[in-house]
Amino acid sequence: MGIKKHSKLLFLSVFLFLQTQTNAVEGPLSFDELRKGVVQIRVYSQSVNPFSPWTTDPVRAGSGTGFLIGNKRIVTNAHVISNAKFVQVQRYNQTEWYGVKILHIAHDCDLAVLEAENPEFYKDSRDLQLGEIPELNSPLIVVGYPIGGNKVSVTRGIVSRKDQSVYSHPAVDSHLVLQVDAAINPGNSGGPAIQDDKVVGVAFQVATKGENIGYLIPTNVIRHFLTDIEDGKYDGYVELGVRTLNSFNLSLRKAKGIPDSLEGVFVSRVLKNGSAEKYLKEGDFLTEIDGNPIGKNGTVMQDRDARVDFVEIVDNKHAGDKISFKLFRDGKEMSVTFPALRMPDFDFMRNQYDKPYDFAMIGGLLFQEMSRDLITSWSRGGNTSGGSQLLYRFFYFIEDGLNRKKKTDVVLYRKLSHPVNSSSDYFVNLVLESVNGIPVNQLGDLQKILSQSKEKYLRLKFLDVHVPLILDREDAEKADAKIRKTYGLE
Amino acid sequence: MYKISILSFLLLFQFGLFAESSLSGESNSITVKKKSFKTKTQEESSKTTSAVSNSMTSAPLSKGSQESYNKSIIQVKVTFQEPEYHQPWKKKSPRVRRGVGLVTEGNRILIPYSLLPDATLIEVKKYSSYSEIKAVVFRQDPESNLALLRVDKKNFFDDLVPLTFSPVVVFPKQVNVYQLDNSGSIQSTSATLLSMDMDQMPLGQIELPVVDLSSSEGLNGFGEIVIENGKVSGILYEFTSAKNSGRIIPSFVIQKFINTPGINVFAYKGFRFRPITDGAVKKYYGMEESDSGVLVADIIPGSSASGVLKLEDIVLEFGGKNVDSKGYIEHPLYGKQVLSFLAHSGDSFGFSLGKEIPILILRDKKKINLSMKLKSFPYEAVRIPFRNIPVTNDFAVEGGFVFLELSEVLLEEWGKDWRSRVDRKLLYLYDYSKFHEKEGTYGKIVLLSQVLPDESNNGFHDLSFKIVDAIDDEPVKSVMDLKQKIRGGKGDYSLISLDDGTEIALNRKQLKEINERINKSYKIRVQEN
Repeated sequence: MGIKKHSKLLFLSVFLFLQTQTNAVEGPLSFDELRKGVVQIRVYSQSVNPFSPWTTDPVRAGSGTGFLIGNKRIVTNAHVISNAKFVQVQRYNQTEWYGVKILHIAHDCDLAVLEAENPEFYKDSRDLQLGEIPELNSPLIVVGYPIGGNKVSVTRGIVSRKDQSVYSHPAVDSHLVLQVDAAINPGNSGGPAIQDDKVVGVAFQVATKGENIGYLIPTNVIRHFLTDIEDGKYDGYVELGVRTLNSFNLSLRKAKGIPDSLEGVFVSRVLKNGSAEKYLKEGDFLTEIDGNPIGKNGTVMQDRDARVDFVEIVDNKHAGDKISFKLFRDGKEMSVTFPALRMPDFDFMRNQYDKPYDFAMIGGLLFQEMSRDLITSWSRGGNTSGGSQLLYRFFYFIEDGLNRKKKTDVVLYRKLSHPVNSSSDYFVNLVLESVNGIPVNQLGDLQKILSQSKEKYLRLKFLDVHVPLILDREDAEKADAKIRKTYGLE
Repeated sequence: MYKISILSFLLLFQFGLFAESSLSGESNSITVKKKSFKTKTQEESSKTTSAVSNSMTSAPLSKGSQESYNKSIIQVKVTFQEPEYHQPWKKKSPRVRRGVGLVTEGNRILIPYSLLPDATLIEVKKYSSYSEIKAVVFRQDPESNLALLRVDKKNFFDDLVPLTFSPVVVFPKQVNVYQLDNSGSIQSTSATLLSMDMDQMPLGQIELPVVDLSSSEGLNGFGEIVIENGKVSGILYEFTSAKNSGRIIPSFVIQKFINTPGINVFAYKGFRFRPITDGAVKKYYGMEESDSGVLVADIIPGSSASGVLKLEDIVLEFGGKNVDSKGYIEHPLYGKQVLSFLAHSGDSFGFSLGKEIPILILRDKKKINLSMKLKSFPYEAVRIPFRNIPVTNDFAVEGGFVFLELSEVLLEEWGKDWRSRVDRKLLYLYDYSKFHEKEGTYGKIVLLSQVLPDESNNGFHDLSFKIVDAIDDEPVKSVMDLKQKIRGGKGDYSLISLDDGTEIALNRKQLKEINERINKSYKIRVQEN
């Protein structure tokens, strides 16, 4: 009895679902036309293991979705084609797979542009138009090639939230996202979300907690990417480079002499090499950005239905664009305008793709510049027992201004065992400070020292450790030749 | 229809395979991964653990000796109440530790110090009675993990017999371990003393000789008494049943504690060293082929070594004995022992607190004879108190902002795997900034641990575990210092700066009223100082 009841209910719900779906495809543009602009992407990729940068991981096959936006360009997610060795595309009515070139890839906003080499691919295709940011509670459809077959699939959802959020492909960058309650699945990645015949977003990630919560990259981010590559290369996002503090607290406002009528936020940190470095000061009270009043909680009105963090305005800018603030400093209201800059200092915190990992070796001791990839593979390898120095410096390098003194940390992250390094375990997972008194502020410094040093001994000084690691330079170099052979480095 | 619903479940399940949590935990969302055609094979090596069995023959015990020990062994019950380190105005529920004490000359009861922390009541019970008698601490020393209790009740010791200690500890050796059970009858277990090592006591900073013991029978490690030929050779302070092994405080350490008046009993060498086993290192520092020694790697400010040894000195001889490449010296009775033995427990060689200990070092490739006056552990050099250091647990709640000092016990409140849960900056400080860099610098790390929400601290309700950098532009050295600076400062507001750049303003005029309101509302018991 119970089972029967249950299946009846199930029947009903599925029926409703199909009904609504049918409604969705009705409209000026038929679904048959729409799907002419949607592309299935097949990818064979191979990544490099940062822990053993001389080796490669196995080849993996995967697939995703893309869509045509005109001028033969196919837009998809960066993560669909990251570390790709071989990429092919196909549309719903085709039997042939066509090879493509990757024209541009932007990991920080998880977008990429491809172009098929064979004009046959574009025959009887349709370019899709980019629309605006959809309203909250408005319906849309997501088109793609998710798991469970290679036929095009459509799923319907509602825009349930607009907010800035971390893009998990780069892991650090935060841009605007649209949250939708549509079933987005692996393979949907890069597929268009359509509303009123226009693309209003690209499906790219899902919530790990909660069911049926998918996220779209909105069109302001897609347009930012397309504008950036107009000059033939991708530059990436600019950073304001400040941390701010809300101004709800009456005592703090009074202590800082902020007039009761002013809304805005306090600048609590100005980051080295950020756009604001020479223009804003810690303690400044920011009241307007580009004419938009900033609230006590740091938000500006974006559309009529959403307040977003004021840095969203900076996020839509390109390097060289002007940023204007009205602010309150030393009891006076004033205005400052300065150009937006990219901040390469953040690059090491981002997941990296399609890049070899440069390393240095002496006496079987392997050195690399600190990066998220290294930290990730290092912690996967179970090397986390010590490492508090590494972890602190990784997560606080910019926050605590460690980048004021040096470009990056060079770490002894691993050793390839050989008698010459038998007593150096103590130093593994520590940051290298200097060799024979010469500071090491990036990997190149170390490589230069290693190639040029004529000293009998190398005295490697590590951060927070008083006593250095001593190597007999010639012995270590001789050992390296053997180590390369034994461990298959060449 | 049914088929479709099954499919959707399947998809959901599949989808789970792609879930990846980001390393930093910064994001709740993940990338929709590409469809994967390949499944990863995982090879897992299954490890077989072989149980180590320890066969031991129990030594028969004559009834006479058992009864005589009855009069020397005391049951100890300590009721204790630990502070809630995150909310220091509260205490955790009272709990009880039970242990064993032994009667010593002068009507004192010797117990392990580790029974005592946060004690609210100490009670003792002897063989002849079921009544628990209140005892008080007479002397205590976390370094040797020993304490002496005094009982004020008249005639308590009349039917008790003090035990005597053996002057040396012999190992390997079969011994008997004694304790009183709940009914007041004596229990004995046989055990073997295996070897001697230098280690810190659970609540100590100075490495002292400890003797490893093995027993196949269950012991607690709460002060059970190890007896050999009628004399005490040590007390058991640690036992792991799974490994059938434990550790004892040897009798000569106990005697030293009992016979040394004052608070400081043991000397501390004041430096840490690293082995020199590598040929390149030896040559670099100019050691001869026949030389052996260790490298001075850390010097604790204000300690015996401070001002005498320098970093990268090589210690060739210590206390007149050759030091090997791993820091061992040859002890005439106890064989190879770490050189710390001579500085911390070298009484028989004439090395104790206040005495000079000779050292031969290699500095800048020259051999130099030095001597170092032995001092006790310089606690003022400690910046982040280790578990042993009686934490004052000083705190302040000002305007709803809760201020604490960083300590090991505070970090441990994050739970068993606190190292992976605690903020990376605090963990880094704990690992690398336990001591002050220079002599004469002092102070603790003050944290703003949480905010008790109130109208007055609006905007700051989500702040937690930030380091306090300064108050009114002056550095903060302790919670006490912070309190004084808030009270004593000029101006209408005290401005507190945190390490992330956040500033907090406390309205001095309203602070008393705000504090009273918050204390009442959140039931904060304020410390009087």
